[in-house]
Amino acid sequence: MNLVDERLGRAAAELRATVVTMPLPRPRHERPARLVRAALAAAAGLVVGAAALPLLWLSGDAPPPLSPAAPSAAPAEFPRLLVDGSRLSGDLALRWAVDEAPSGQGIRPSHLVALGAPDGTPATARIWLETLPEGSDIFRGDAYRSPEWVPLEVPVGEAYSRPVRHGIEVAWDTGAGAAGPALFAYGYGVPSGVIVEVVRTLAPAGDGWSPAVMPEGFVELYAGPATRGGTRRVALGWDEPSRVAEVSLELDDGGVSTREYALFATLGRDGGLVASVAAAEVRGHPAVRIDGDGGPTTFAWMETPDVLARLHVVGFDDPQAVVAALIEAGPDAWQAALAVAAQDTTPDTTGFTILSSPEQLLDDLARELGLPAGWEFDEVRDQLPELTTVEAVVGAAATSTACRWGERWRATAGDERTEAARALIAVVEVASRYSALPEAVVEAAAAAAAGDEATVAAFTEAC
Amino acid sequence: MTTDPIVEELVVLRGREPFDAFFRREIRPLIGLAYALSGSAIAAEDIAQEAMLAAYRRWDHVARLDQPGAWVRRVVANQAVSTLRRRVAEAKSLARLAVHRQPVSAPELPADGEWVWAAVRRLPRRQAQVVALHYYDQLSMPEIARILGCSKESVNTHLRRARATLERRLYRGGMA
Repeated sequence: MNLVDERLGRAAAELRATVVTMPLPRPRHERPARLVRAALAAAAGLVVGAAALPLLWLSGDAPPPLSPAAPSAAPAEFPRLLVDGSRLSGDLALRWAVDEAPSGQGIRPSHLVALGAPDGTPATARIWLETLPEGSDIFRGDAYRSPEWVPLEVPVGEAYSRPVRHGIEVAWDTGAGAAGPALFAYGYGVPSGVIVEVVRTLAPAGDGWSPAVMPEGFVELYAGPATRGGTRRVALGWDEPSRVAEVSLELDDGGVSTREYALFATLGRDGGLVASVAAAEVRGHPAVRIDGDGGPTTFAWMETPDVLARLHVVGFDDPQAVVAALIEAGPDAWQAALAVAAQDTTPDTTGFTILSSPEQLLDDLARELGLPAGWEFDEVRDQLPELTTVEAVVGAAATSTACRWGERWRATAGDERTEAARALIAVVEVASRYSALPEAVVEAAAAAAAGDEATVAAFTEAC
Repeated sequence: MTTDPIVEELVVLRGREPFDAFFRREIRPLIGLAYALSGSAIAAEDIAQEAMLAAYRRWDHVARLDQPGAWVRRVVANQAVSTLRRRVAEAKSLARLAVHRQPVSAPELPADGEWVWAAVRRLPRRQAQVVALHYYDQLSMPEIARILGCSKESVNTHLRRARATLERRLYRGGMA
């Protein structure tokens, strides 16, 4: 054993000896939910935007970003798609779970795996999972190797959804389809230059559905250029480390609003073989059922007035079946989509809008941050010509807001000061969602929470 | 961290370990691991607690794994090496402290130990994880490989490089 070994061993032994003498912390899961919610509301400030539906965080803190090594870490530029999932029906129970991501060779390290636990009521369970390129309100940890998540519970009778401004929102629903028990996967959101993947597995078990660990394969939903004039393309691919196959389809675009088309214009990629395409009906809605060369799983892509598109997956004969969605779009597709959207004069009934400007993002941020009356982003707006990415805009807005809260923190005491500290933490949380978190803001928030006058002062004086 | 063979045997016999027992056995070692890798006393418990909470929420599944402890270690090891995550966790913990005055357990190490772990934290994150899991948790190469999701050869490589770097920094004045 050399000197390094000895020293490391000694340091490790000291640390082990130290931790065994620590008092046993109280498990967080034993905290009464009401107390935890109150604590979280206080700690996080709960500055979610007005569009966010009731949500109850039971465990804790603002989600840290996912692995910066993931391909989704590329800066996302304007325009991007805003997704408002709040239009979904609400009589749903919800439980959710996320499990370990596949760790075998040959699977790209950006994959997330989500396992569904439909609450024992398979006909009504619905799960929303929100993924962001650099972080998520639900997923936590290293995107690939460190599954961790913030548990989310929504009382029976309430649905959970929230707008997503930086990524893709995906939801799953289990229930009875035309061909029997089915898993419905909803995926929205196509930020330019960003790749987001979500892997989802469910397997029928008895009269319900249960999660299964299925790391062997996944299905990818690609986005890409599509043609106008009555067609849209959606490609579904089946991909495993050992084999690659794809299915693709074209759907009739008739009767769809141009805004919907704007989304679909971002979807599509020529794929491989389609064994058969047939009309189908799912819960009374028209659907298209596609039998592809992807094993025993059957896919259908459908739409309803309320939900723009659904990936309908039935026939989980293969216990190794894994469903994933990968949506990406190139700048050309986005420009085409924007051009179409600009012509749209129909009411937005889809819940989708397109964020085409930094100004719009600032407006959204002002709502999310819960800026007090009279606070504006004037100085940030002045910088907008130089802020070409979402991250840059959010970073500037976060810094600006944190500066003001920092000044208020310094100028107040008691409850007002506590409120300012909470607001600073809230800025951290909001900025984290956008993968734009200036370190100085984090340090200022931590300092304010800790009562560190000097650090907060240094931060505000540098503003 | 090694586990009591009797406990492991009981786990096998009973099929799964109660979460409470798992928590009592693992939480302190996890805090230590988080501290070794993060260097933030206040964030260490938060990271460990979050990992435990994640395990609790999925205990039906996690308890059936061969090594539930490896599962939570993976979470902690990855959480703790992220500067941004650590900062956010720290900020949140501080906020909780400030608002609710909840106590946070934090290890206190002798100065030399702090110096060594500080050097470890300056390693590339994978190397730091391997060092912490090997020396602090006293895990074997295959066990570390399983936790980190890489090959034994990769673990060996990381460990060898980490030792070389640490030797340079600890004994040749390479540490800033």
